[in-house]
Amino acid sequence: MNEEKFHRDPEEYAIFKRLNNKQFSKRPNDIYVTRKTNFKAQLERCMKLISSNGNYRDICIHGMGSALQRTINLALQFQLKTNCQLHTAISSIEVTDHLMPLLDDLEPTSDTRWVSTIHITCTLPTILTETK
Amino acid sequence: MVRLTPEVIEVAPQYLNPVGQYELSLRDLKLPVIENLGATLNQFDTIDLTNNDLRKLDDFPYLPKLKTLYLANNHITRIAENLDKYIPNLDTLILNNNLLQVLTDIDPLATLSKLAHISFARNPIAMLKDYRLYVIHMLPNLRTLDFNRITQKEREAACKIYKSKLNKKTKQKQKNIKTFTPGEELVKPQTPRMTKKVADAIKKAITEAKSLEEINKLTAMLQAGEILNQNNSSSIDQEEHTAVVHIADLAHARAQELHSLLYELGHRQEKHRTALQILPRYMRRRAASYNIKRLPRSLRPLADPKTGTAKKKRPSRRYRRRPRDLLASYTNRQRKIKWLKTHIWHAKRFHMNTLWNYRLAEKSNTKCVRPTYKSLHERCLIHDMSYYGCIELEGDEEEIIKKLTPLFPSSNTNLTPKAKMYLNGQFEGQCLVYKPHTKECLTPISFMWMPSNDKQKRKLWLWCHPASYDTLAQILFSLFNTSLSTTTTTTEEPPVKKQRNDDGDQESVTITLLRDQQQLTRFRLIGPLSMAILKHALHPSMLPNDPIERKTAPFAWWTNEAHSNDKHQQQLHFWNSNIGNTSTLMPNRIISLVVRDPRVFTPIKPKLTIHTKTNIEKLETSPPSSVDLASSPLWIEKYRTHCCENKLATYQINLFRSKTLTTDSKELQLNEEESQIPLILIHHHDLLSPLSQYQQNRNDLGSGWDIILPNEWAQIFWISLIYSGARPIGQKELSLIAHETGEFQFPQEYPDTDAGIAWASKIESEQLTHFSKCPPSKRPNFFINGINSPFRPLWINIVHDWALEYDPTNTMMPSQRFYVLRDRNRLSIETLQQHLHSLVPIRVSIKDHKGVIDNTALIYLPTVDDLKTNKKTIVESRHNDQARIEERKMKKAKQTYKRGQTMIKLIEQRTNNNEQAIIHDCDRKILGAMTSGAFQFSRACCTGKGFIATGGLLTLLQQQQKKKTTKKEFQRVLVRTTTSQYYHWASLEF
Repeated sequence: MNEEKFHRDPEEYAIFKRLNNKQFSKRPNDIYVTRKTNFKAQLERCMKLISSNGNYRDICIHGMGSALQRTINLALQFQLKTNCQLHTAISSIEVTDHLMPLLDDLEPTSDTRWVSTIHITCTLPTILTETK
Repeated sequence: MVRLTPEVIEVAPQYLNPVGQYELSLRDLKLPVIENLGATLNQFDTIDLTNNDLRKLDDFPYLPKLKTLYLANNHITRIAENLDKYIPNLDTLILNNNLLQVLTDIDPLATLSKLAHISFARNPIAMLKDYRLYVIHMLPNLRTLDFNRITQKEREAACKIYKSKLNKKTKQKQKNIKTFTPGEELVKPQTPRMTKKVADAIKKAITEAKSLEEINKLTAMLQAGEILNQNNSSSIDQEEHTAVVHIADLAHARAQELHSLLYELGHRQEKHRTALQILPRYMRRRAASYNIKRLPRSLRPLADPKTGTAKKKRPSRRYRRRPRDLLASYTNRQRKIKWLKTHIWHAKRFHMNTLWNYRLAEKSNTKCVRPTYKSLHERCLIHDMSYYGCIELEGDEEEIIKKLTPLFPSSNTNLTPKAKMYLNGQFEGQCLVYKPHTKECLTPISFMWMPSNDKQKRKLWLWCHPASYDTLAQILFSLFNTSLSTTTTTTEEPPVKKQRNDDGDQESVTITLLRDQQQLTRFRLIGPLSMAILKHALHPSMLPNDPIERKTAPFAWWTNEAHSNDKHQQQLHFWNSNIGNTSTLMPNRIISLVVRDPRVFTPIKPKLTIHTKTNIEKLETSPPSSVDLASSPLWIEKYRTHCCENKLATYQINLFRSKTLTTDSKELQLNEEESQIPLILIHHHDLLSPLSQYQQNRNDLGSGWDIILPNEWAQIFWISLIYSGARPIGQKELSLIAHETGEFQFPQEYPDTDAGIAWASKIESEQLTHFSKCPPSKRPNFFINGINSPFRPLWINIVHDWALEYDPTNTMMPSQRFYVLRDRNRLSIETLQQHLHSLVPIRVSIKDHKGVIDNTALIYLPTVDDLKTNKKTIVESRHNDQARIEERKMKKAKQTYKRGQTMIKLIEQRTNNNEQAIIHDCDRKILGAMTSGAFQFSRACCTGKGFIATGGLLTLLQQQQKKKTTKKEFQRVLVRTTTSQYYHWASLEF
């Protein structure tokens, strides 16, 4: 790993990180957490999904890489508010780095890395649904 | 002096007057003589000749219908005899303000028995003694004179006074009658005698008369004859005498009349385009224009298109657009302004516009701003970019690289054709071309090498925007020492193969302008579904597995040593494996393919959306760049022409289709006749474009696939792709996409290139003409906001002013031309300080702020106070309206000026003035301007792209570094549109 990083000299190569657009599930109750999106807005979105206009009994929160922490944080915050049950699964996903040369006598190459992901399923308690 | 010609009568107003009579108005025409009244065809009850220069009341044709004559304000001194023969039914005669001198002048009127109303007011005779009584006496049937009723008393008085005279007169008259009735017969032999003498002369005069002098002579002769005549006939009284005199005048007038008639005959044909126009206006009927039976019989042969001059009816649109003629007119129409191969398809669905000598689709006829964004984000857009021209360089690899070097100065970060990455032809490169040995940018190009191992014979394709195509071609010709004389003929002569080999058999480079030969077409698909659509539309051709069969197969014409079967199998394998997943593919990778005729598969109904539901089982890594996917028969002209020539026409395909028994079969069995078309696909991605976004903002938005194909197949593939669900876009949507992805568009947003300058001046002149058409109250007053050049940013002034402002000691002016620092990776304060006379491309957004950005917004430098007090709105103080001041000055000097045009004049003056300082015009110093700005859907805020002067940027950085707000990473600037006085905060991004 260290060796790879060594020859990725910013003077020589420009790195383009790309996500393999494997089929991610795109149900309305899937939430993908990014580092850029406002945390409060993400929480709001979760709340909206279980409220009357979304009316979902369970939502899935996905996160990957450096957004793992945020994902867990979001799930916990959501739990605090709704007292839901959390079910966590972890996996890893393959991503591609394209290395485009910046100097004339270099060949372009591409790298693959494995990035860990987390999928948290939040299920609302059944009592709550009955009261509602 | 106007002559009373039939034309005059024809155009004269005619109407039903309040009394209910048809009236012909010949007022105010300065007519000297009454003539040609026959042209009225006895249609009028009333003729109005008021305000003319008539001297004599005569020359009437036989007009039994005429009842009223208005002759006021003329110079009439004489009245002709025998008027009763011509206008017997004259009832009213108005002779006000004429020059009748003697009472006896009116005697000839006595013959008009029906004359009941007459007026001689303001004539000399009206002043004479006993005038009224005399008139009453002479015209016994008169009822009103000078608009006064004639009373019985007056009649009696007149009777009394003139009784004796009357008696005498009646005696005389009786005598006259006695002597006259035979006397007429007596006179008649006299007049024929005279006329016999003169008749020939008159005839001659009429036929030969070409000038007035001759006629005058004739008259003189006649008069001489008369005098003799008079002497002879002493017994003839005064009335008789005047009659004789009139003959001379008559001859004179007749000569003129005939003369004019002859003249008319000669010119009739030219004046009237149709037979209907020969008729006087009142006789024309609308129906007669198409039904000749409504015309008078005499005119019918003229009006008949078979015999006469009448134009035939324009043939129907259907007839005019017969396939044969249509094709001819199409070729005729694209001689000057070129059409793309998909022009006809586009012309039905898009607003077309002429840009860069091409007829291009401007914007779709449907409302499509949001749908375009949605397709960009989720589906697929397609754009025909065949107007990008291709230049082919063929020759020794080293020589091409060596000769091309001056086009790419070393400061550029983008890799040039000489980079190892591109040399084997697996990637398409993009870079900027500079004019040789200068810093002036010319154009961005994309290039690709033909994959080949033979170093002596390489091919390089340069794709270039049409705005700079000709310049680039000329530069290339000069670089490779090709004679320039042929370049001038490029526009006229389509086959351009410029080959030059002056120095014998040495290695030479051939430059071919593929655009002028119209050989290649390029489509661009943008969006995440573009690969799915390509897979739906394209079907790679299958070669038989058996090698012997493969060689003999007629549709395997494209297999050769350069493009062997192995390579084809590689490409096929790649296509069938994982190409649905584009993210693993390297950007700008070239893949070539030979595909089957898409018409075999094109569904009858277009498919609106395609969803990639195919699950990718296993992610295959994209093949390394060493695998040759790019070699294609399309590179070789022989194969290009072959596949164009052997194209089956669409009607043939349709015939086949109609013959097939089953309609639901998916593909048509054409067997050996089916065409195979070589294509080149390029996974285009703006990651490598010269002005791509800052690294952290990069994503796949705006990426897709380019297709290069032989041009004859353009329309067929286009329809096939559209049927597969791609959404077509024009130029306007293209700039919308460029705004969403944050790319800088050529030539609109390259202000330092020639093409960019030409574009800016074109836009400016368009907007200025529109502005000048608006009334002053309905257009914004830019001067009040302190903006002197609203339609074009004055880059030169801004750059030079900031260079001086930032570093007053630096007085040198390197060149009039500024340049743009596109070297993004090396932006640092030190390098910026070296390039003071340049612009820096920037992006601006007003997230979390108020305000909008449009295409004309200007960027300003905030003051230190502004940065401290955040909440206060910043307003530009009201400026003087220079145009108004100027207009007032001109008014004072009593010069003439057109209201509202002064502003336009001042704007034009300011635009052309390169010397005047600009940055201190307003309260805040101007940093730069936007080239495009609008609401960006992908970021949900107003953003813009633009340029600011390097000196200004340095000042900004210094100022905001001192503040060190730390929390915010963006520099803040002020933004103001040209029509507003409010500044708004915006954050600067690079």
